[in-house]
Amino acid sequence: MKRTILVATALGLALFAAGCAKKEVKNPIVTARHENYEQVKQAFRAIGDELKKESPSFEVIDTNAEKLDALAKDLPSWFPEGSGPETGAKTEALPVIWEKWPDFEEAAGKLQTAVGGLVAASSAEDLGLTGEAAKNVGGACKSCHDTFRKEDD
Amino acid sequence: MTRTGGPEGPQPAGSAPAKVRVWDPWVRLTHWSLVLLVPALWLTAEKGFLSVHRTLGEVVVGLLLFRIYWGFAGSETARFASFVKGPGAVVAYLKGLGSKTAGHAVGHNAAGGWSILLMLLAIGVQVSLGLVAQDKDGLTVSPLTHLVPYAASEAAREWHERVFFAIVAVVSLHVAAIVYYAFAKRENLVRPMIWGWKLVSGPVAPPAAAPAWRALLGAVLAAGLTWWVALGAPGVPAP
Repeated sequence: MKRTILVATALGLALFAAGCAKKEVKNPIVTARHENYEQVKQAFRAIGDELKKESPSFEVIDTNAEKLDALAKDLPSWFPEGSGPETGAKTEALPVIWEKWPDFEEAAGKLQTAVGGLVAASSAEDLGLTGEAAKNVGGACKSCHDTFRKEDD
Repeated sequence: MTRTGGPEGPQPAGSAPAKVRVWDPWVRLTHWSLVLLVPALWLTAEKGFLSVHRTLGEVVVGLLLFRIYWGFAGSETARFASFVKGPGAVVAYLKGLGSKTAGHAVGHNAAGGWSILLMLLAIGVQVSLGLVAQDKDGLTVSPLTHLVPYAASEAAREWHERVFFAIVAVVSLHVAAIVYYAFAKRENLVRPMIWGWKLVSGPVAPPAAAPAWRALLGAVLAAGLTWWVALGAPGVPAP
């Protein structure tokens, strides 16, 4: 009896160790994509924070809007063929991105247009328009996520 | 807390069970609002209705502020000073748990008082985290997100998800105790929380009820403070 318990424990521990050792698959494209989206998120948040201030600085908004603009233009290139779930890496990119690539590009285009509006509004230093434009950018993010990204578990 | 014999227990001769007001309307309103809001908050978070989630969370902030105020200024059974007992009282209470007769405590029992504090604490931590969190896309932000750094909002979101399980744990304990009372001790604790009164036999001094104006004052204060928070705490400079 004691022996059985001992063996079972050892076996359990070995399995546990094996489970821990199983490394998370890393894919450089997926990792870079996550980092890029992190940049998007930080720039967008910086704009939102600025807009909440009593006298927002258009310089800060401008800098971040320009960042967003560059990122949005690059966005489709973050999704080369074969960088989806088939990589085995942790990604929420759905295969539908590549199955309906023109639709995905169109969605990215909507983001680019929205960000362009934000850059313009911020350059014109129009607070009302800038707030409106920032909302449009958020909407473009969301609508694309709704279609092309896996829902949270 | 005053204890008397239950219906099955020894009763002083000639004392008919009397209605005693144990929970004032404000305690009951706060309680049942939370009963509805906690599952609604969970559901709206699960389904991604984050702006509804945020609004409901703000309502919880108001309820919590009111409940804390009421813990100092409210009716006798609502006051922390009346229901937060020392360890000795808690041990004595837990030793008596096995007895099949109802305790018929007026107000929280010694252990229940601590579970109330725990629930309020867990909910307090939860709304504090929620108020500075941002969603994983940074698209929905909370009223006070702009007052903390980006990394803090990210951490707050993760902890906001974890603390929910702490709330589930304390609420489960609370519900388990009610079920235990219903079946083992044959005492219905839910009815008094709905209607406010319970039947108590024997001489019990009815707990003092706070006047309505004091509740209204608390409601106005809590609503005002919550409104200010929901607006993003104007006047507080962002770092």
